[in-house]
Amino acid sequence: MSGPLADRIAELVCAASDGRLPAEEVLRSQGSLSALGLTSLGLLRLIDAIEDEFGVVLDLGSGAHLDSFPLLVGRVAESTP
Amino acid sequence: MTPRTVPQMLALRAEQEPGGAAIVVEGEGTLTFGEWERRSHAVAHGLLDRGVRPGDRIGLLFGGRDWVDFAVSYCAVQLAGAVAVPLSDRLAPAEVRHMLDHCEASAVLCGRDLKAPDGERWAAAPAELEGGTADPVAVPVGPQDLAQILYTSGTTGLPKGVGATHANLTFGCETRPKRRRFGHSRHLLHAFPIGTNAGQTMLMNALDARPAMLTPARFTPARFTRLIESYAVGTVFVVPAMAIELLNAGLHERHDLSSVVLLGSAASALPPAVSVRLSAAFPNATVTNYYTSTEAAPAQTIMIFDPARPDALGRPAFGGALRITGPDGEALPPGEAGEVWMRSPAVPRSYYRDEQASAESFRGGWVRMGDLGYLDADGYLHLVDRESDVVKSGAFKVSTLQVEAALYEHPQVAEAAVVGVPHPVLGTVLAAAVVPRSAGMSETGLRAFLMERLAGHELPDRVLVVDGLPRNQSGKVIKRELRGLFDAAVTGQTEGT
Repeated sequence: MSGPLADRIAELVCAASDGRLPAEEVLRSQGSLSALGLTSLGLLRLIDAIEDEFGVVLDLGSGAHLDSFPLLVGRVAESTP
Repeated sequence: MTPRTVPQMLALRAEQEPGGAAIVVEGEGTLTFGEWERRSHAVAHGLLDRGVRPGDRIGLLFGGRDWVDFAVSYCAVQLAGAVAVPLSDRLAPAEVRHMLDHCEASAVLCGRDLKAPDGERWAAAPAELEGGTADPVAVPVGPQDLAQILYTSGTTGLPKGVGATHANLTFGCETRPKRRRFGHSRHLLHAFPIGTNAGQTMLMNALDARPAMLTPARFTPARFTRLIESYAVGTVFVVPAMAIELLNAGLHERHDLSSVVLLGSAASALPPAVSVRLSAAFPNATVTNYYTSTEAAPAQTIMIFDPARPDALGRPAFGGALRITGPDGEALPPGEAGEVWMRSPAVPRSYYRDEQASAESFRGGWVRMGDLGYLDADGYLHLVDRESDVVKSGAFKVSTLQVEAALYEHPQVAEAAVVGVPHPVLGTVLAAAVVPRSAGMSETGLRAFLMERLAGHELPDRVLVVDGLPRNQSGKVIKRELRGLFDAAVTGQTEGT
């Protein structure tokens, strides 16, 4: 993924993981963020960070939009002007 | 008359306050006591029509946004004389299957978007059972009947089912409206998952305590904190991890938390430094720790945070008892460390269909807590760290043996060992060291494999691929040295491959 939105969300993922997942690695990833190593706690932080910055409300329960980084970026893109 | 079964508790409250709010799920809806009772009877008829009989076990698989349907289903199962088996939507499919198979559940009721694993049992949503009459069902249910089974991590690696009778669950329940607990609050907020002991305690609070039980449909620390402000919540229950996140994110600086008069930690003790910070962030709240376990409830110790005894967990409450026990079963004097045993003031719980494990953990009315500790001169309990195969991560007990077993199912794993390592928010997280059969094992692939077998909170926070595990001469993994490997990885070496 590339572009300013993807870059910014990758930074948020990196911060949510306490820096354990470098933004460049997140940008390259295609699969599940949990499989990449984002913990349950990291997912909660990410949901709050995205809601705070973009006003987009994500659901951890069904989790579809958090299943991969590209899906997550797509969800935020379609919900923001 | 004092209620002696859970359905009797519901009947009493529905009679006293039919229009009163029992459960509020933010963004989803409110359940009144009258509706709770009426719907429970309707679902109970549906269960009986489908052949459910007294003593049958019924799985209840629900997520947080379906607390209302869960509460209805829970009481419906018990009205039908059956046994409720609450299951969290966070569990991996293999875990749900194990639990349903172990108790030989005859059916599963499911929340929205949830599917029971395949098996020889029927599954339905509560709404599918609710269509017929809501007349009172007339199945006799007594205090000694089994009411619920809760699964919790055990030292053998497989989760154990803890059975509780109606007498155990209704112990200490209140009948006088003005004497109900937390009478200072209109709302009691929590976000404990269904299927945990803390979650069940909150369900009992919904039935018995003064305030309505409020819970977010989808938990995050920020949403939780906003709810405190918007409802002016009086009573809040948290786990330490949630409290630490709230403080670290500065949420207390952005929201008015002055309504809170009781801030309780129900699933794990707050570290003293966190209690100090919470006392400042919640200026009007009494910060309180509760110490119990799925096996020991309703036995518990309660401790209002006291800077003079910052790490004390309190003294026994509600007529229960506490002792420190030596290797020969003798009670130890104050100051000496030993096993923590608690005695329930109610009919004790027991492991369901596991006599051997029950005999190990339940001793003549006493419950072995699995912790080491000592009593100070005034009888306050203090815990002592020890090496254990069960670690507490956030609100959950996790068996390292269960995680190791899941790792060994991976075809590329030759050896695996799992330990708990310190974590600034969760207290402890799991760290796994894996020896692959051949080079090129993908850490991401390994995590994806584990996600089918383990709940999110059971996934190792850290995975290290190594050439070999540190072992002693008899071949046992030296866990202290294993932890050292993770410390080394933090200080700059590459983790995983």
